[in-house]
Amino acid sequence: MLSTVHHHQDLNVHCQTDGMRTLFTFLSLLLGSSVLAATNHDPVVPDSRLSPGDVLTSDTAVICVPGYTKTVRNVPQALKEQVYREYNITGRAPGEYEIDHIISLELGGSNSIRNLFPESYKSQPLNAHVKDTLENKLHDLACSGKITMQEAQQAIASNWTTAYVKYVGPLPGGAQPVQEVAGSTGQKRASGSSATAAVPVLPTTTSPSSAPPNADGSCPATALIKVSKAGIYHLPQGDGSYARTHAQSCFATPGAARAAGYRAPR
Amino acid sequence: MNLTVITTDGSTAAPSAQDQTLMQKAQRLIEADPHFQALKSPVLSRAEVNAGVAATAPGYLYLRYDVPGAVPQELWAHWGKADHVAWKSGQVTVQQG
Repeated sequence: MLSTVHHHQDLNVHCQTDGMRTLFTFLSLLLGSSVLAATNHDPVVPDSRLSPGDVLTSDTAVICVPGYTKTVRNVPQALKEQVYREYNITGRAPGEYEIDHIISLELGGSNSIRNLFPESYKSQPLNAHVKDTLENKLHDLACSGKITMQEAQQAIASNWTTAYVKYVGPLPGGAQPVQEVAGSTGQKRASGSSATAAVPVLPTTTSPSSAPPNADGSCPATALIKVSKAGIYHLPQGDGSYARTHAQSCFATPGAARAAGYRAPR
Repeated sequence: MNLTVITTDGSTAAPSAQDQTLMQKAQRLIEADPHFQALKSPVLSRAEVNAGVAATAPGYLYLRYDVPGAVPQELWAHWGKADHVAWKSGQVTVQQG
């Protein structure tokens, strides 16, 4: 988009005749419509294949201290540009998008590329401002002990639009939660009253109940329960063996781990 | 610590020898930094190459150190002209060659 603006300026300098002005107007409309098309892929929810979410810490003694987010570093610009490329966002206006944290910093999210996705400020009715409301609510709930930080992290990483309905209330504009289909980057939309949200909601898919472990033996935020080599599953809270367990597989719920044939510690 | 490469389609791949060298050299630079030395028991817990980022650009190699009871430290290493640790931004430049 920036390069488009520069083209406009260059053309404007050289437009000396009415004919050229007409041509310039035509080109402006043409370029404008191509930019609109390029930005008509706003991912409302992240593509879990590219960005499953990633936790930096779940320690409320660290996260809930005022000013915590200022102690976490900023994402390098080159990494942000990579996220835009992965989501096929090739043109954007200043202030149109932010590279957002799926699990926000105030909920202990990390700066790994696994936790980043481009989010529009301008898409309607769902956008970065709406997600911000959820982030603040979950932070308040987790830091006041009404839910665990892990619950907050898992909720926002699984599907923030669903979490919004659960923890905040109805989505703005009459929108329904957006269902993400892995690998369908740029094809997701909410239904709602706005003309820009007219694309039908995709069929509902259930959240995966298991996930592969991370390379370091930890589990992703969407499936925090670790299964050890011995086939025992360990919960992230109240289980002294959790931290030292090198996960062989990960599950979202104890029930899913049991259904897969694993048992709780005795 | 296993070094993982995150490819542009979100899958993972094996790191190159160059990437391994970058990680090792970056670790040495970080561990020599006085800010790092002031941390209590930091442990390297994550090392990821962002394959879509140029190896000479900030953000190429993501490194995370867990610090018990404190904020984990996230840093990014890349190849450059001279060794340098910018602690505030977390950028670590490792001299090429």
